[in-house]
Amino acid sequence: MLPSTVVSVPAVLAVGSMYQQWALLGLLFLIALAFGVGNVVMSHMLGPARHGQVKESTYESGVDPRGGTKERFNVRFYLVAMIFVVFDVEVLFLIPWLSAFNHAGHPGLKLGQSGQLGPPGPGALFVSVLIFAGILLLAYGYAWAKGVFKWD
Amino acid sequence: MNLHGLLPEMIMLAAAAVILLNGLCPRESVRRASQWLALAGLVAAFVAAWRLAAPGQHAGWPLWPLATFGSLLASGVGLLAVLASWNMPFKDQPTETDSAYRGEYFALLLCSLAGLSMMAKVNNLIWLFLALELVSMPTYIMVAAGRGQSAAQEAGVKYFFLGALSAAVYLFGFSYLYGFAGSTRFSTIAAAFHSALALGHPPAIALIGLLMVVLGISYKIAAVPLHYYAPDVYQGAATPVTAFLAFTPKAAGFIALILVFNLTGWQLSSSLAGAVPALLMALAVVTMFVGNVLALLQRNLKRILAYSSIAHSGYMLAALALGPALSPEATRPGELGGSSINGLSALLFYLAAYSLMTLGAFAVLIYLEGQTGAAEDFDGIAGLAGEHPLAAGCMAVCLFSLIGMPGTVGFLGKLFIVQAALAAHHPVLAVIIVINAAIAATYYLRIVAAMYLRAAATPLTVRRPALALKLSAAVATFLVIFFGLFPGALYRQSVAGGRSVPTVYSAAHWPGRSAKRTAVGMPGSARAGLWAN
Repeated sequence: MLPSTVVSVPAVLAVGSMYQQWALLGLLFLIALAFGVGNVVMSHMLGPARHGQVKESTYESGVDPRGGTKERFNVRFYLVAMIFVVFDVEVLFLIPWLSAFNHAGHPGLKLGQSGQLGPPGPGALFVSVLIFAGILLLAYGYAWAKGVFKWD
Repeated sequence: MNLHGLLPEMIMLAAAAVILLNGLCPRESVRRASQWLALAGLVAAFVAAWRLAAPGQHAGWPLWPLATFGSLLASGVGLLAVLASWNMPFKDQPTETDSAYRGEYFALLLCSLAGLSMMAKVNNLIWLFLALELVSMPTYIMVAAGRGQSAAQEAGVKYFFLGALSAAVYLFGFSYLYGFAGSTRFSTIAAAFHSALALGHPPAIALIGLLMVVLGISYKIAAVPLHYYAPDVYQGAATPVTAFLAFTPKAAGFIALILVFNLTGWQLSSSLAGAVPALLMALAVVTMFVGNVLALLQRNLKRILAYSSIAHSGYMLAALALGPALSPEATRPGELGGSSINGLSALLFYLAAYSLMTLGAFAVLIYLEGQTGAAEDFDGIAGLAGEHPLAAGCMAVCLFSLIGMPGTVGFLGKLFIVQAALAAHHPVLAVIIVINAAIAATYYLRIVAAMYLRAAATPLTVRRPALALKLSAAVATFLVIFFGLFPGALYRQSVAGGRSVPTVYSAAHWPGRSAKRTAVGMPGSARAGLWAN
């Protein structure tokens, strides 16, 4: 949705009667319901229905499944998953950072008239991402020192 | 606001990072420095916050006095919380060597305080969410810190899942506010409310958003309807953590509520919109009665203090419902209702007062907690005055302050709320607050009576009374009396914070509006249209 249409929403809502506002909410609910039910029904109706032993087996990264799924997992999987989140979040933020870095116009931290930050320059952006990566590195170092990577 | 304005939070987070690394050291003597590092970090943060609270700082940021109040509260009361945690057994099993989790504990504590300190410095719903969760996430882990006991496990799980639920509820409310205004920025949402109110009443979607935010945040402040976790969690968590929980999420939640209602311009008086302040008032009254009446039924001291925490949230919700408006009589002193303190100033003062007095009471409980957890019920503290007269004295002063006895800071807190209620022409609310103070006196005096009038059932055992722990109880008690007699400094900060919240909408109150700081790659003109009309 374009931002301009979003901005015009309050005026529309305020002008309309009370029932119209509730009707909008009801419409939102109906759309949500239709989306959920529709997806299930549509995939059931339109999807190809092939059956077979391979098709109905559990998907386990392409490997033939061994045993039931209700067995206990080693708690280390959970720790590794947490470390994964550390790097996942890092990448998640680094990509928009790269995009912003290309557009950085002004050199260094510029203070505006009312003491507010101007658009950050490349130097400030670089320092800020170093701090960000440093904090995540701290989490990694912490996990290392706590022996998360020791598998014996 | 420039980066300089975030100095207290940066100091706290840097200290947290250093403490986390320090806690990894295999040598226990090094790990024991964690407390000292936390103390040093908070002292530095307090000094930074104090300098930022000087008049004239950040004039372009109208809510700055409220922001610095939050920073001062976080670092100041946080200091007492660190002192009270000095002796906490940081281990899972009794066989473990002490202080295995010391670094984590203090690092989490500092992170949570940084969230509270940052609370009033946000200008965006996303940042508000991040600040609120920065307060809450560390506390989930801290509650489960005593993992050896099943009570702590239960408390941790209960606190975490209900916390996740409440976060989902108020985040859903945020999404409705976004849907209403088309932006998560406070300035845009406030303008949308202003134009909607000028046309009549705001649309249902905005009101539903507000209601969900109130419901979700009622968890953080332990108010009805999401109050029922409080007794179990307060009882199950280690006592220093309970002391921390009684203050940090509550203060953060109230500041967040002030910020959210500030978006509406405090002008919700038309037929449908008027339901929101009325609901706040109703929640305040119900919270007071639920907390106070259920506290009468308790035998466990931590449960009593938990229900009392709920009741005090009720008083503060009442102050919030009164809003920032000053009565017209305010300029004429001496007249009934001629109070120069508005509801929000009263709320901020009460927040600081409650933090001090509840921390003092919990500090005495930590001091008394024997090897068997003997000081959990009335029998555990019976005859305390004979064996530990100073501890009993500190406890008694803090309890008298929680009742609202004159001469303590608790009295002034209640006085200001009642004054604000009378000034806003809500005499019934004032009467309800006084009635509740009378009900509350019953259970607080029961504790005092057990300490002073009964003989000790079993000899009281005291676990390694550290100087820091005694200091936290003594300083909290001293401040309760000091601010009760000389409230000047606290009063000035509270009034400045409460008065900084505007009572009428004005575009000039919302900073960052003209400084076209749109994200890279976004059309900058899309946002400007709303401000034109």
